[in-house]
Amino acid sequence: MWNYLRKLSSLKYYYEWSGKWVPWLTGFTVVLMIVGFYWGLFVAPADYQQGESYRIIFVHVPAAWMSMFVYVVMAVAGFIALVWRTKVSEIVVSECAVIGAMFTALALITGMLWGKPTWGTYWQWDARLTSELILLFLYLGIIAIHSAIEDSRVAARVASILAVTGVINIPIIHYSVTWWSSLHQPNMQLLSKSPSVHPSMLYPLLVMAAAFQVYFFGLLFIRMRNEILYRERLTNWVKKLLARN
Amino acid sequence: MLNVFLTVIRRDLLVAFRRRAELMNPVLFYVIVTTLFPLGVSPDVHFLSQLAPGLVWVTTLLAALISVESIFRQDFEDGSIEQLFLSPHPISLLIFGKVVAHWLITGVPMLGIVPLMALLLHIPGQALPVLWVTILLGTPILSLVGAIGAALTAGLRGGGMLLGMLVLPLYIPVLIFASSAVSASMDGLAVSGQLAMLGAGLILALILAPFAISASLRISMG
Amino acid sequence: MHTQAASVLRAHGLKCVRGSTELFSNLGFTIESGETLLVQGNNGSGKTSLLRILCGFSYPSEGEVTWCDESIYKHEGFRQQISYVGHQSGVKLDLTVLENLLFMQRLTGSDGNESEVKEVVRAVGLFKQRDVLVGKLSAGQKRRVALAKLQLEHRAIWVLDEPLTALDKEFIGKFELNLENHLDRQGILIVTTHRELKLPEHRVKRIALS
Repeated sequence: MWNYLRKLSSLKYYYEWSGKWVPWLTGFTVVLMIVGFYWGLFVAPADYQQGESYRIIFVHVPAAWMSMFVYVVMAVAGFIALVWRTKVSEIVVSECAVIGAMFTALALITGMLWGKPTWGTYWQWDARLTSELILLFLYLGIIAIHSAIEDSRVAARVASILAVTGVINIPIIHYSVTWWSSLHQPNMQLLSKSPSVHPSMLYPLLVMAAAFQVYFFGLLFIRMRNEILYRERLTNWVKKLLARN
Repeated sequence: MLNVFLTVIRRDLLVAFRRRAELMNPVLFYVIVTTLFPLGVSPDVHFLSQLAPGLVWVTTLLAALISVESIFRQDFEDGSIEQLFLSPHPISLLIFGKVVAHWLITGVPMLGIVPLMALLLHIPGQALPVLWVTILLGTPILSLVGAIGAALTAGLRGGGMLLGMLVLPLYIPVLIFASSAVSASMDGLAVSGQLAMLGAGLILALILAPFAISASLRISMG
Repeated sequence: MHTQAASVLRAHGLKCVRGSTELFSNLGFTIESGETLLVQGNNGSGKTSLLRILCGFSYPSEGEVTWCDESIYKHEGFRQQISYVGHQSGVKLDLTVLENLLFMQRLTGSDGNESEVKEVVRAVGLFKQRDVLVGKLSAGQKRRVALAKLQLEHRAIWVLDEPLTALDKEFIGKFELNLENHLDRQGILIVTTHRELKLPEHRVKRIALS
C-alpha cells in the first residue's frame, strides 16, 4: 500500500496510471449524465408546490455537494503536499482550486435561477447561498495567489496552506452564517430545511450526484495530465512521448 | 523560553515606538472611514444607530486588514525573518511574540477609539461595554488570522489586494458574532452566546494560528 | 576534536530552478570542519540561492544537503549550527548598535551577557557609536554590526554572502583573522565574495557557478 502510494507520487508513473483511468471515467460520466438527466427531467414527477422549476436541483444540489467535496479533497492534498512535498499532490491542489470554483459558481448560478420562481428574486441572503458565495471567495483567493506566485512549487505550497486553513474555517463560517441567517429571517429556515425527498426524486438526484463525482475525477485527471506534461516538458520521458505521437 | 518571547515583543514595540508617527495611522484611518458613513448614508440618529454595530465592525475589519499587511514586511526587507528561523527557540513562539506586539500596537488603540466613534454613530451608552468586550476579544483574532495571510503575501508585489481576498472571508464569523452582540445589547437582549463564540474563536486562533503563520513564513522565504 | 569527525556538510545532485531559468544543476561537494567553501560566480549565477539552500531556508529543486549524514530538513539541531549574514543582515535600522546585538545574542539562546556584547562592539570599532541608531551609520559600519554577531552566536557554520561589501581595508584584515580563528576552532565557513579574501589556501575549496 505504502509502496503503491510512493510510486503514484512520481509524476511519470502517475501520468501512465491516470491514463488508464481517463477513458473509463469519461465513459461513466457520459452514461450517468444521460441517465440522470433523462430520469430527472422527464421521468421524475413535478413538484406539487414548485411545479417544474424544482428540476434545477438535479444540477444545483450535486454542484453544491461537489463544491464542498472538492474543497476537502484539496485540503487533504494540501496537507500531503505540505508534509511530504510530493509534486502530484501539489498539482491536485492547484487543479482542485479551479474545478472547485467552477462547481461553486455553478451551484450559485443555478441557485439564483431557482430563486427567481421560488422567492421571486434572484438573490436572497439565505444561509446556503451566502455560505456558497463565501466558499467561492475562498476558492478565488486561492486561485488569485496561486497565479501571483511565479515559482509553481512555492505557489502550490501557499495554496496548500490556504486550503488547510480554509477547511478548518469552513465549518465555523458555515455555522456562523446559518446562525446569522436564522437571526434575521426566521421563516427562511423552513424553506431550506426541505422535508424528506420523495424516492422518485431522490434516485435521479443520487444518479446525478454520482455523475458529478465521476466527472470531477475525470476532469481532475485530465487537467493534471496536461499540467504534468507542461511541467515535465524538458524531461526525456515527455520528449519521447511527444515524439511517438 | 518566556524570556525570548518577551524579548521579541520588547524589540518590536521599541521599533514601533521609534516610528511614533506611524502609530496613529490605524486610528486615523478608523476615524476617517467612520465619518464617511453619515455622509454617505444619512445623519439621521435612528437610522445610523441601527446600522452602527455593523458599520463599527466593518470598519474595524478594514483597519485590521490594512495594519496587518505590514506585520512582516520590514522583517522580510531587513532579513530578520531568516534570523528568527536560525534561533534554537520554537519558531511559532517567536512569531507569536511578533503578533502579540502587533496587536499591542494596532489593536489596543482600537479599544480607545472604537467606543468614541460608536458614540458618533449614536450607539447608546448601555451598549458600549459590550462593544468594548467584542473589540477586546475580536481584534486579537483578526491579528492572528490576518498574520497568516500577511505571511503568505509578504514576498509578493501588490500583496495588499490579495491579502484582502484571502483574509476578509475568514473574518466573517468575527463580524457576525461581534456586530450581533452589539445590536443585541442595544435591544437589551442577552449577549453571552455571541461573546462565548468570540472567546472560543480567540482560543482556537491562539492555538492554531502561530503554527500556520510560521509555516507560511517558511514558504514565503523559499 | 575527534568527536567532531562526523561534522560534515555534504551536498549532492543539487539543482536550482528559478522561474524558467536553471541556475545550477548536479552540484555536489563535501565540507568538513575546519574547511572553507568559497563560492564564485557572476551576478545572478545562483550564489545567494545556493547559500540559502545550504542554510535550509529554501529547498533545492532536486538533490539533497546532509549534515552529519542526516538531511538538514530532518536534523533537529542543524539550524542552531548556523550563523547567516546575507545581503540583508537582519539588523534593525531603528535600533541602536547595542540593542541590535543584544537581541541577536538573546535570540540565539545565550542569556543576555551584556559585557560580552560590549566587548564585541569594541572589537569591531563601534564602541563610541554603541548607542547610535544603526540607520544613522555608514554602510560599512552597518556591515560591521552585522558581522559582529558572528562573535556572539558561537556557531559552527558561518554562511556569509558578500561579507566584505563596503568594508575598509583595515577592517578586512581584522576580519580575515577572525575567519582564520574560526577555522582553527574547527568551524566551517561558506562564503561568496567578489573581493579577494585571504585565507589559508589548503583549507579552501572552491566552487564556480556559471
